[in-house]
Amino acid sequence: MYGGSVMKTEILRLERVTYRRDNTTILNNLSMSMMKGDIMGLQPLETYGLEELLSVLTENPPLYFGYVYYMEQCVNAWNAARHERNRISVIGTRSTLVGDLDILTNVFVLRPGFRQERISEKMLVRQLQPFLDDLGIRLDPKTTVDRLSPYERVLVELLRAVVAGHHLIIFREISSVISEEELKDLHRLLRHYARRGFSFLYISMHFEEIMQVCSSTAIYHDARIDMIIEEDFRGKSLPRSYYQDYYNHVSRRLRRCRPDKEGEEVFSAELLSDDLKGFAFSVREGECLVIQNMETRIYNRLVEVLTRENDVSRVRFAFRGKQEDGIRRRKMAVLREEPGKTMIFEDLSVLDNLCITLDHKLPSIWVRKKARDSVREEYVREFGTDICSRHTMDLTRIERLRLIYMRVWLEKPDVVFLLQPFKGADVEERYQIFKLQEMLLKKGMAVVILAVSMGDSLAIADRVIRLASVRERLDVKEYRYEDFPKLPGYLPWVDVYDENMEKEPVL
Amino acid sequence: MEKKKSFIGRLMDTKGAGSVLTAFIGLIIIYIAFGILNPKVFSVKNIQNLLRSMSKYLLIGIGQSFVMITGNIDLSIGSVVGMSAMISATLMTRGMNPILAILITIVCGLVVGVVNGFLVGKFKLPPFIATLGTMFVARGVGYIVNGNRNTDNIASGIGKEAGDRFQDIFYYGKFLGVFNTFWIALIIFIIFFFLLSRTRTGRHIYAIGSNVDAARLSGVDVVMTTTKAYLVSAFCSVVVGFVLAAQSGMGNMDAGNMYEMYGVAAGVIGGVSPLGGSGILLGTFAGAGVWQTLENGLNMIHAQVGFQRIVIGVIVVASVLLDVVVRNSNRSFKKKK
Repeated sequence: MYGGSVMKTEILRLERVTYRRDNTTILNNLSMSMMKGDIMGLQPLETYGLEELLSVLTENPPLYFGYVYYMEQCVNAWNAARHERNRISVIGTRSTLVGDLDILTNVFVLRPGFRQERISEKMLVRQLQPFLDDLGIRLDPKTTVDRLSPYERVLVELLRAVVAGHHLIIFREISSVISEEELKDLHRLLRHYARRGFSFLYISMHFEEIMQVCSSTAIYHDARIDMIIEEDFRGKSLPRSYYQDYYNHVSRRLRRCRPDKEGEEVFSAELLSDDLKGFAFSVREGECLVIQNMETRIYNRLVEVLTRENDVSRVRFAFRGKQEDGIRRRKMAVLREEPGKTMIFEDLSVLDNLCITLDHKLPSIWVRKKARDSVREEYVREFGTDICSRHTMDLTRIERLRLIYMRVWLEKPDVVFLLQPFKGADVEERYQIFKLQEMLLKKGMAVVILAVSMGDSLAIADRVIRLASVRERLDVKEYRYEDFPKLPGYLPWVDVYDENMEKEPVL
Repeated sequence: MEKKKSFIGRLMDTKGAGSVLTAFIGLIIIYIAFGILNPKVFSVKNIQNLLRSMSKYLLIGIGQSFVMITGNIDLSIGSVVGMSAMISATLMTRGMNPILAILITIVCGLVVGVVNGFLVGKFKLPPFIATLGTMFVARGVGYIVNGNRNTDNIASGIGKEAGDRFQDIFYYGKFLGVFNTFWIALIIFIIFFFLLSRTRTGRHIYAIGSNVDAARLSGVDVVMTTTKAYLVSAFCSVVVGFVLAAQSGMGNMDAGNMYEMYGVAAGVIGGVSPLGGSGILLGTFAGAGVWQTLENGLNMIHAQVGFQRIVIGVIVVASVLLDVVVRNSNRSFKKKK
């Protein structure tokens, strides 16, 4: 002890780590360290190298240069590679639990080091109970994991990490699968476990979210840790130098934005299923409506109901006042989360990917080469590059996004549903997604964003509806453009709306 | 805009073109190798027989390829072949006009296709299980239709002249020196090649096999498209049933046994991915050619039947392995980028 302060134990240190694969430098001279009980944020400005960084932390792959220390021991060095895994857990958007097995089996039996051949469930339940009490949650240990809500799944993964004695737990983009309320509760638990000596690395694309829970934030940029922002930094958002172009673009849009869209109402939906009954919304031409769901259960239900084909018992759609099935008639387009991965047809050519939704307008598109060539030219006119001669698999993440949004732009449905459009996107991609969404709006399409986490959706929104379940009833709060400053201050872009409202009246 | 590519360049850019080229090169090598071992392989008569025998595998392969490109499988093919042979032969032995018998048989076969399509597309049954069920049902119908026995000669019902004409059309007749069976298969091949590569349905079939959720959200009617693929498969099987009935002049209850697997082999050797989304019918053509040339060549050099099966089995596994390796290397290449 020095000067009355307690020496903290170092839990993790990366020292000048350079990682190369196939002669390409992926991590370059990266250094960082974490102490016991730290909750450290990590904001990647680009996703390049992030997977590899996690691999370096957990799997100890051969390094080109540098050292990795975990629990004060050198676990990996450039000149003495060890390929054993570190006892570190990664909890992300995808479950690492076995869905068909119960909580008990996932937490205890599947743990490396569980040696018992004969399983005494009673004893395991008794062992698990103190951990559940500590978490303050009620879960039946014999519940199958598939039946858990996304938040419960996250808690069970946390529980498994704690039971397994993993001193460092990494959370990756967790806000895209759990709601704001659940996120607050998770943050409470992280602080609780941090006090008990566990350390957390909290990876998120949103600085505002990181700042709610982390004591310091590392900015990952250009294959290294660019800077560390400590807790006493009072800014609510990421230093603007990192996203100046994006910020300027959004600000310009806000200045141009009309508070009330006056276009024709192009789409309305009335939910009829029990748990969403009474909820109805409509959108106008060129309007962007964000529906934020305060519970993942509501989000999942809403997505299920809205994206089903012709399910008249649970939802009623009207397009320009006329009731009909949207998806099949291509009056409505849906882009799932991470569309660059989930909406691409990897086996089709780039041009086929662009044209696939045009055959209702141009039935002969697959026979007429001219028609396909004009689509190709349209793409080049819009983005300045020709990607059609390349294989779909070779496209970059940005090109994939452009391809998917361009497909919708060409299809020109009345309404486009975007499911968590900013999920997993780094700053450059978010900027691109923002511009692509603007492109759809300019063409007169209505855009409805369904989200659990607000992310950057507020930057493009004209109207926001927040849905929560209060005492088994659906609570609907609508915020018009001029009400945005009333939204919670921790949401990304609220401060920009604040500034805009103060500086100049909205045109 | 980039410089326009040549026809060959564009063809080689098509996904799966590499596998097709490999299959065609393999076909030529195998053919020449067997020809060196036994020069009779190059005889006109052998080539005629080779093309005729290959036609059955080509037809079966076309059907199975359609289904495989949607990411599914059709195990009922062999049974539909048998059912088709039995129904058409039974009807003809009972004196029904051959054209009417053919039409009724086609309808029966297509019913199996519709059932398969709905079970897989609408009710989301695993295709292996759904078509396993219809495989047994179709075989059962084939047995029942003539009271659990093979039929008599079809000429006994419709007369010698009509019987001979039926057999000539589907098996023994020739046009331009090539057996009609090949011409029938070729016409069907051209029609379905066009359907798969130049029509909306074709693109939807690829889209479903590539990413079924994205296809549904893009407005593709998954149930209808899946059903269409199974209908093509059922239709091709029915035609093969006619070929087998014409070949033997009667309905055999065990006709078409194991043909579904021959279809898988023809498709897979020709580069149709069993994981769905990729493959072209030209490859299936080459695959059927490889299969039949191997069988024919091994027969010509008097190889044991067991040895023939081993060789064919190894080739099928190697083809699938190649597909998996290519997909994985593409994926890691993409990651690297």
